[in-house]
This record gives sequence, structure tokens and C-alpha cells, in this order.
Amino acid sequence: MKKIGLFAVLFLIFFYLGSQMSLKYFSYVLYQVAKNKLGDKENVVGYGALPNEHSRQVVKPNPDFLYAVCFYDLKDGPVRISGNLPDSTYWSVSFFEPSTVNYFVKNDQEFASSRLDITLSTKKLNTKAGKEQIISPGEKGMMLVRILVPDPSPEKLAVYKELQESIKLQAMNLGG
Amino acid sequence: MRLLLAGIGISLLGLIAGILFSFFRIQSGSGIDDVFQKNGLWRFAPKMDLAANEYQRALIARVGLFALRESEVLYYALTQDEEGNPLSSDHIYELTGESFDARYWSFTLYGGDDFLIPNQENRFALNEVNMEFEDSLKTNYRFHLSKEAYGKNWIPSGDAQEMSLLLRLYNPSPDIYEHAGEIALPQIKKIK
Repeated sequence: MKKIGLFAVLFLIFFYLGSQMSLKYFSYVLYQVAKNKLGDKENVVGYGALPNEHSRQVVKPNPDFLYAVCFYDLKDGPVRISGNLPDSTYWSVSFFEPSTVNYFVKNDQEFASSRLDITLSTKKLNTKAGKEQIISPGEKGMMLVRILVPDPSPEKLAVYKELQESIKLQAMNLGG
Repeated sequence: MRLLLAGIGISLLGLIAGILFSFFRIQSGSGIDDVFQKNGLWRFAPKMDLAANEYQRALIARVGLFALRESEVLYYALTQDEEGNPLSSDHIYELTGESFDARYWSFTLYGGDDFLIPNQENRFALNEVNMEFEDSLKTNYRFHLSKEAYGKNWIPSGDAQEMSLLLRLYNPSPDIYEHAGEIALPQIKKIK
């Protein structure tokens, strides 16, 4: 009888641990799946076309938006993100932890200009580089830039595409 | 020795059962009402508390990976018709509503796999720009979810089952945030 009680307690303890572990790490797994589907590259910005039925890397894509995606790794130091963005439509820059928590988001109206100039690091930098300093909670994460395309005609889309592809991420040389 | 082996076996069984239990909970969306509120038939998350709420984080990762915080976008999802049945391309649905006090808004239709639905029109969404309004003030609209062309505003439903319609409100007004559970959202009606 004692044995059954012991086994029941063991089962319940490990059931609880299993269910908590599963909840905690589920989003990390989906983050990694998305990263693999998007080419599994780090510190390289990927530029998507306007989403359609073939866009199956990340669930619920918004067909009105151009996306620029970059999975980053700051193990070799801070990076600088630059680019020119539209001045007449909504756009936003967001950063996610590998847990998928959105730790930073700012849109075009909140940035001082449409010229993107961000430094991304794991700690505060004593540098004048970059108009905006973002501190990543960890070395790894993901940046997602969304650009609304209100008029998807080929001429207008080409303009937005050019702006989207101006977004770059480069290692920062902090000197001495 | 046998007791030890049995203990390890039971522990392993418990661990696997626990993992499967949570996995089923996330996949089935049971407990969805604990993290989403309702406004009529529409569901929304008034607070995206993903750092602290692991179930919400897991659920949103499954149905809306890389969703933005509620301070930037409010998401409202509709998965049922007025009779409580899942949305299916076997039917035609009519939605009537009013525009929103937000910087930008759109309706996007997704299949049961949460991806855009293949269709010949290459059309997946209606938004404040391409919606044809019923009035000159661009307030009232009517649109349809239908396999074939239907009315002036329609989103093709292809051959999808268990569809979801997602309303996104980018930078909504303070009034919308304050009354997120009561704002007027489109009414759905199955018409065929």
C-alpha cells in the first residue's frame, strides 16, 4: 500500500514538472522552428515579399505588410541597425526574446525620423553611435520590421521594397 | 532494485503524461478563456502578459507567433458564426460593421492551419484602404467571406475549414483601449 502511495506521489510530481516544462519551452521550440524555416541565419537581415498563401514560415502573416527579419547573436559584441524607412506610412521595429516575448516595439511616429539608426547590445554602451540604443535581455533574439504597404501597385511596391532592403545589420567596431 | 526501476519508470511516465497534457491544452486551446476576453463572438487579449503567463505565451506562439504588444496593436479573432459553428468555406458569411478609431485597421482571413487561404484572386484581406464603404463618410461597411465572388467586398474562403478572421487595430485610440470589451465589432451572419 505504501508503495502505491509512493508511486502516485512520484507520478504527480513528474506530471507537474512535465506539464510546466512543456508550457515554458513550447514557445522556444516554435521560435526555433520559425528560425529554421527562415534560413537559420544569424545577423543577416531577410527581406520577405508581400505575404500570400505560399508564406508559411510564420503563422498569421499580414498580407498588407513587408517584413524584414533578423535573428541576432550578440556574442561578438553589439550591432548597428540602419536603413531608410517610408515617411508616409505606418512602420514599426520590434524585438523579441527567444521565448517570443516582445521586449521592444516602436513605430514610425515614435522615432524621430525615418532614418533608422539603432545600436543593439546586451548592456548600455558608452558611445555616440546610433540614435537609439536598445538593450537586449540576452545575446540572442529576433528583430522584425513591419512596413505597411497601403497601395500594392507594382510602382509603389517597388519603392517600399527598396526601402525595406535598405535595412542592414552590421557588427560595431567600438575601437580600443 | 526492482523498486528503484519501478520508481524511475513511474517518474518517466508522469513526465511524459505531463508534457502531453500541456501539449494537448495548447493545441486544443482549452483554457483559452483564461487568457482571452470576449467581445460578442470575438476574442481578444487585453493584456499580452507573455513574460509572466506561460500558457498565454505558448498559445499565442501557436496561433500568432511574433504578435506585437497590446500597446501597439489590438488583435480580435473570430472563429465562429452566430450559431456557434466553426467558420467554413461551405457557407457564405456577411459581416457588417463600422470603421475604427485607429491608425490602421484590417480584416484577414486564415485557414485552420493559421496561414493565408489559397485563392485565384490572390486576395486575403480587406482594410480601411481597399474596403468599399456604404457611405461617403467611410463609416459603414459590409463584406463577405465566400468561396465565389460575392458583393463588392469579399474575402475568398477557398476550400478552408475552421477558418479564423483576424481584425488588427494598429495604434487604436485611448477610447478603444478603455472599452476594448465593448466596442462595436462587426456582426456575422451566415447567409447561405
